[in-house]
Amino acid sequence: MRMLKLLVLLMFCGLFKPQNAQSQDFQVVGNQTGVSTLTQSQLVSVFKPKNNRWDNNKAVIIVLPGTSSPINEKVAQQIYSNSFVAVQKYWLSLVFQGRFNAPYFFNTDEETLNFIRKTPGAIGFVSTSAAVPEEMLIKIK
Amino acid sequence: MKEQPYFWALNMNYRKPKPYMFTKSTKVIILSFLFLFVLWHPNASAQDQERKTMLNYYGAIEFTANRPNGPYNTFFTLGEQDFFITSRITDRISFLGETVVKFDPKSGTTFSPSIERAQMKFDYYKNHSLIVGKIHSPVNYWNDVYHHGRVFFPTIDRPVAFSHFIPLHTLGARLMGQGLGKLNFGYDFVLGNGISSSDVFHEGPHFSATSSVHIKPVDGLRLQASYYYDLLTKNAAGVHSGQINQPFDYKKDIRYNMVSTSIAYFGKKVEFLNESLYNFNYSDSLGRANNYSSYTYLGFRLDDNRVPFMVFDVTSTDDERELHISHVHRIQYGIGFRYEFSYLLNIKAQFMRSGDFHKHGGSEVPELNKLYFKVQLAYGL
Repeated sequence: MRMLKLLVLLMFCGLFKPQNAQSQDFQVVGNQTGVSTLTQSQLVSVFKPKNNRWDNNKAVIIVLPGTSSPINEKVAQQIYSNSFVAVQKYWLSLVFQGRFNAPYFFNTDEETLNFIRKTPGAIGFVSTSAAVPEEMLIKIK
Repeated sequence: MKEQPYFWALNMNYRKPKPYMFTKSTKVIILSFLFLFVLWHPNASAQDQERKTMLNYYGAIEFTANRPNGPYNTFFTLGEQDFFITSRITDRISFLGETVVKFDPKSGTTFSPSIERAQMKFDYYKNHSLIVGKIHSPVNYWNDVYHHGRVFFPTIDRPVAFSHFIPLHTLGARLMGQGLGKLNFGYDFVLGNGISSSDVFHEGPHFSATSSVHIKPVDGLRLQASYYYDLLTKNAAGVHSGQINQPFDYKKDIRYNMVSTSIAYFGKKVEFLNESLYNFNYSDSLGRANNYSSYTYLGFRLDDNRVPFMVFDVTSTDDERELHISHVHRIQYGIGFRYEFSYLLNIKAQFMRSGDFHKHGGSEVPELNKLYFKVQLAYGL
């Protein structure tokens, strides 16, 4: 009980901020990824990227918000703990090494959803105001 | 008529001078291919995703003021211009190509193209891939991560050892794994045309062999160790390392070995890179020759744009028994500043002092008589 009070106090002071992508500034969407729920750390490891393939053997296709997307900085901060420019640099370096395929960048929710809808294994982010079909939504615990 | 290296393959009547059995490395590479073909089920891969091909262009323009051994020189330099292409062909197969146009005094226009990488990657199982083609030898962090993209370099120039004994490229087959386990373990095993070969021919039934492992225990940190072996047939000079086209007096085989470690940390505030190399080569006439190199970079990221840094680099290939690598015993150090306008454009300024070691009173002392100041504008499009 004492710990709970302390946490509530810290949250009021803005010192402790739960990092939960789903309940915050964007929604996570996917197509045939084989997952409907991810923890925050699993989500981060998908986008770092840790694995080439999902457990259902589909290739992991990374979709990120583009330069003019209103959620790009929020995604960069919550997933990569860095700025959006640093995320672009990070991915460019990985692609240049030949270790991973380049991610797809889209500036609008509509473009992101359209691409993910027709790409098995794709996962990405849209804003909280976007209408996402239930089967594409990935919940973050 | 002088016999061409591939003559025997074109003339059916030609008798090969000395038939040989496959070496162990050749057997390993053939068995690996067979194993992977057995594993591969093309029908299991959905190929309905969009194909994606990207073309990028990287380059650099430099200004230098130096004092090599006397009066100052000031000049501009057009650096390497790099055409970089990647293509996702299916959900398991992708291609990466890198062609560089760079200064070449032998060319009529003083520039000539060079294919630096052309590699096909096949993701055969989860995070395990087979790569065939011309690759950067994954012997250390710098060669694996930066190479021709100057916009990625933390400093203006590569470590000195790159111009002397690092096997930059390999043409062959590479087994690669990454992101394995909690420590993000990765491995690279390569067999291919090594230092003494070209991109179309290698004399003798031997391959160079690279074994490299790394871990990424926390974000930004990579620890790597590698071992490289090659038999330099008749001490020939190939195209895959720094000492190209040098006439060597010694014409017998040399056994080339290199052990390398890399510590790389690129965090939000601190950037650190150490590349340590130890090379030992055996010749029948003089025995073992020892060479080494150590490069250290330390940078402090003030914000998203500004990074002051310092560099220390020492290389020694001056062993009297060394018969392949050009001799140098050099130390250089300096300070610099990098300003990143964006992830595709930065400017670096660097002031360096360097010199070679000379024998003085029974010991070797460095004569730090070379100074240079460089500014580099590096870009990617």
